Amino acid sequence: MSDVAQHLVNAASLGSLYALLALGIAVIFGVGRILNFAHGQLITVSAYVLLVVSGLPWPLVVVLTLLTGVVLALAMERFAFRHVRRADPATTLIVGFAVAALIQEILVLSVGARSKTVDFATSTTLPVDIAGISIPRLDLVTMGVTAVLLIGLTLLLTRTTVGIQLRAASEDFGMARLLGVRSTRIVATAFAISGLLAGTAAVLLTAKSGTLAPEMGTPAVLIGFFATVIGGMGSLPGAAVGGFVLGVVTVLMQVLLPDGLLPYRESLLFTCVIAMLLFRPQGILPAATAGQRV
Amino acid sequence: MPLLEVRDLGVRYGSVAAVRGVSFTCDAGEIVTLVGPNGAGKTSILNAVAGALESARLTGDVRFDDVPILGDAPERIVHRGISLVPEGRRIFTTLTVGENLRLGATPHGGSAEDMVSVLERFPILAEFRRRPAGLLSGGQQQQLALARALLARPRVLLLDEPSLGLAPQVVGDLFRAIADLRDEGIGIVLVEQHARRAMKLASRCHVMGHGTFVQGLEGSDVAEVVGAYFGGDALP
Amino acid sequence: MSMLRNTWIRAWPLVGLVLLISVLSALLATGGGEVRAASMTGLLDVVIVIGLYVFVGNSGVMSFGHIGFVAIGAYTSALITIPAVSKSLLLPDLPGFLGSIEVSMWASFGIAAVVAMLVAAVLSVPLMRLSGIAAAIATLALLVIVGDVLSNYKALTGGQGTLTGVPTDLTVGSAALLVVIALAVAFAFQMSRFGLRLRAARDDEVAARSLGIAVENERRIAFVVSAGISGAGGAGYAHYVGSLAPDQFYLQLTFLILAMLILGGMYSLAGAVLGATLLSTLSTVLDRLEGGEGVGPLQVKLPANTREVAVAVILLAVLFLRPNGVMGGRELSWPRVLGGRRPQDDFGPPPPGEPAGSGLVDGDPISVKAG
Repeated sequence: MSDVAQHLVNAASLGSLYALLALGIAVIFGVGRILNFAHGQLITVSAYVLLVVSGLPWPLVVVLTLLTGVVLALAMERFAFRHVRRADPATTLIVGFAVAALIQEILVLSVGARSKTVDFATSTTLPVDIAGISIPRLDLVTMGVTAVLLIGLTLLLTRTTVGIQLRAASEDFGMARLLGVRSTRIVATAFAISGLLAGTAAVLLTAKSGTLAPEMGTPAVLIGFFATVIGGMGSLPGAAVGGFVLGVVTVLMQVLLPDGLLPYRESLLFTCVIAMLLFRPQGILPAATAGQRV
Repeated sequence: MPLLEVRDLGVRYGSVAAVRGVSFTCDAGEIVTLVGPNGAGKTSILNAVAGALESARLTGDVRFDDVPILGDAPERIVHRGISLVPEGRRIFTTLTVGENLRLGATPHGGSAEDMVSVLERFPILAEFRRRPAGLLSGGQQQQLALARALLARPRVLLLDEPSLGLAPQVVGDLFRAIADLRDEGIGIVLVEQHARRAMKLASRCHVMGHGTFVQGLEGSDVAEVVGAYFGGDALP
Repeated sequence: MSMLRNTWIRAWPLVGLVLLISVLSALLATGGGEVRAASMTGLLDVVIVIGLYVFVGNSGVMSFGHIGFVAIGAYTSALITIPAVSKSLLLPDLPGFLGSIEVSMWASFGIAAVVAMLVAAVLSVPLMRLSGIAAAIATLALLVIVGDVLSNYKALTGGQGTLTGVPTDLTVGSAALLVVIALAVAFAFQMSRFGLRLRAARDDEVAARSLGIAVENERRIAFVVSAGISGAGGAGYAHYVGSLAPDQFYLQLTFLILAMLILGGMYSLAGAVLGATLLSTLSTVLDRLEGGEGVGPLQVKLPANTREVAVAVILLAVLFLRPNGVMGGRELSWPRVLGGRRPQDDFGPPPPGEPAGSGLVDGDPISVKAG
C-alpha cells in the first residue's frame, strides 16, 4: 500500500518537472511556431550560473538563476530566432539545433566538459514522513512550484492584457497583428516566460541531481518536445498534461516493466510519441489554431 | 486630399500578379466598393492596404493622411487608424467575446466609454460577453468582428465579404450597421459578393477582373447600373 | 555528334562531380598518412550527406533520423567483418550465425546498405504519412530510439562501451569509389521518374496529388534509397575508425551532417557534395589547429572545441543570410568554355528570394489569400 503511494508521489513529482519542460517549449511554439531546441541550453546555462552563485543566500540564488534563463531566452530571440521569423517550424528546429550547439560548445570552452557537483539545497533531498509515507522534500517542492507556476501562468493568460494577446497570437498570429498586437514584443514575451520556466527547471534539476554537465539540457529538451507532442502542439494546457502523462508513464514503466524490457523504456516511450503523431497528431488537448497556421 | 489614397498598387505571389495598377481613393464618410469575380484580387488589395502582405510582394503607393504606409507592419497601420475585418472574420474562437473586444482596443489601451458605446451598438455582445466566441452564430461573430475593429477607433474600415455565410435577414441588419458607420464619418472600403446591396450604399464602385479595375462608377452612375443590372426594386 | 554531346550535358551534373571527387582523391591519396586519414573522413562525410540529401532534397521533408541508418550500417558491417575469434571474446552472446560469419569489406558495405534499407522500408510505412514538423519530430524520436537500442542491446552491440576489432581496411581509393557509387545512385534516383514525381510533389504537393501522384509512396521510395546510402556510409565509417560506440551516432553527428547539407544547399546533389567537402575540410583544419599540429604554414594553437563553435556559427550564418545554401539548389552547369548552352534544367533552380520546396521555406506568418 505505502509502496503504491510512494510510486504515485514519484510519478506526480516527475510529471510536474516534465510539465515545466513541456510548457517552456509550448509557450514559444504556440506564439511563434518556433520549436526551440536550445531550450535545453537555457536550463544548462542557468544551472551553471546557479553553481557560480551558490554561496549566496538561497532566495538570491533562485532569483539570479531565473533571471539568467529569462535574459538568455530574450537574447536567443533577438539574435537568432528573429532572423527566421518567416521560416517554417522545421527550419526553426535547425536554427535551435545550431544555437544549442553554439551555447553548449562555448560552455565547454569556458568551464570544461567534465561534470561538476553543486552544493545547493541538499537538505531538500531529505524525506519527510506524511501519513506513513516518506516523501523527499524536493518532490513536494517540485509539485508545489509547478502548481504555483501553473496558477500564475493561468492568471497571466486570462487576466492580463499581455496574456490575452499571447493567447490570441497563439490562435491566429496574423489576426492579432491586424488588431495592433506588436509581433516582436509578443514573441519576446513568450521567450521570457519560457526562460523563466527553464530557470525554474534548472533549479529543480540541480537540487535533485546535485551535478551539472554541459550536455544536461539535451535529454530535458527532448522530454519537453515529446511531451508537447503528446499533449497537443501549441496548446498550453495540453503541454502541462502531456508532460505530466510522460512523467507518470515513465515511473509506471520503471515499476511495471519486466527486467528484460526495462533498459528499453525510453524506446518504448518515444515509440508512443511517434504513434501519437500518427494516430492523434492533435494530441490529448488540441490547440485551437486557425487552419492556415498549421 | 483624400483620407486614403491607393495609387498604382501591385501585388505579386511568386510569378503571379494578383493585382496590377490599381488606384482608388476613399474619403471620410464614404463607402467605396470593390466588386468582381472570385480571384480578381479584391482581398489582396485590402490585405495590402492593411499590411497583411510581405512588403516584398507589393509595388505602388498607399497614402493615409498623405503619409505613405505601403509595406508597414500591420500593427503600425492599425495604430494609424485603418482596421481590416478580414474574410472569414477570424474571431479568436478560444477567447471569450469580452477578450476579443479587449484585443480590439489594443492600439489605445481601451477606454470604458468606447466599450460602452460598442456594446450599445451591438447589445447581443454584452449579453454573451463571457462566452467563448467560437460559440456565437455567424451573424453574431460578424458583429463581434465589426465591434472589435471599431474599438481600435479606425478612420478607415476595410471590410472583406462581411455578409459571407449570413442569413438574408442578418445581412440587412449588417448593411444598416455599415451605413450607420459611414454616416458617423468613417471611410469604408467594402468588398462584397452581394454586389447589388453594396453598390446601393456606395458612392463609388470599382469592378475588378483579373487583378485590375475594369470599370469605375461614381455617384449617380452607381445607382443607374444597379437599376440596369439588377432591376429597379427597392431594397430594405 | 550532337546527340552524344547532349547525353554528356545531361549527365554532366554527375560526371562533373565524379571527376571532381576522383581528381581530389587521387591528389590526396599521394599525401602523408594524416592527409589520407583526413580525406577518408571527408569522403565518408560526402557519402552520408548524399544519403540524407536523397531523401530531404528530393522530398522537402526534414529528417533528423538518418544518422540512425548510418549507425545501423556501421554496426551491421562491423558484426560481419570482425574476425570470428575476436567476436567470440568481444560479443560472446552473439545470436546464431553472426558469431561465425566473416565477409569482405565490400560485401559488408552491400549487406549494411540492404539491412538499413530493410529497416527503412518497415519504418517508412508509418513514418512517411507524416510531413513538416511532425516528420521532423518523429525522425528525431527515431534517432533517440536507435541510440537507445544500440546502447542496451549488449549481445549485439556490446552496449554503451566501444566495439573494437573492425578491420581498418578502408583506403582513400575505396572511399572515393563509395562516393562515386553513392553519387551514381543519387543521380539515377533524381533523374528517374520516382525522383521527378517526388520533386514535383515537393514543389507543389496539391498539384502533384491532383495529377495522381501518391506522395507518401514516392517519399517511401526515397527514404529507403537514402537509408541504403547512409547505411553504406556508416559501414565505410566502421572500416575507417575500426571501433564503434553508440554516442558517435547521435545528435552531434546529426548536427554536423545537417550543417553540411544546408551549407551546400539542400536541394541539389552538387550542394550536398560541396557542403560536405567544405565543412569537412574546415573541420579537419580546425581539429589539427586545436591539437597544436598546425596546417602547413599556419601554426596557431586554437582552444579545444573551436571546431564545434565554428560549425554552429557557419550554420547560423547560412540560415540567416543564404538559406538556400552555397549552390542555391543548382546542379553543376556545363562549363561554358566547352561551348554549348546549359541543358534545360529539369529541376529549375529556385529564383532568388523564392525558395522552392517546403524545407527551408518562407511561410508568411499572416494568412495570404488571393481573392
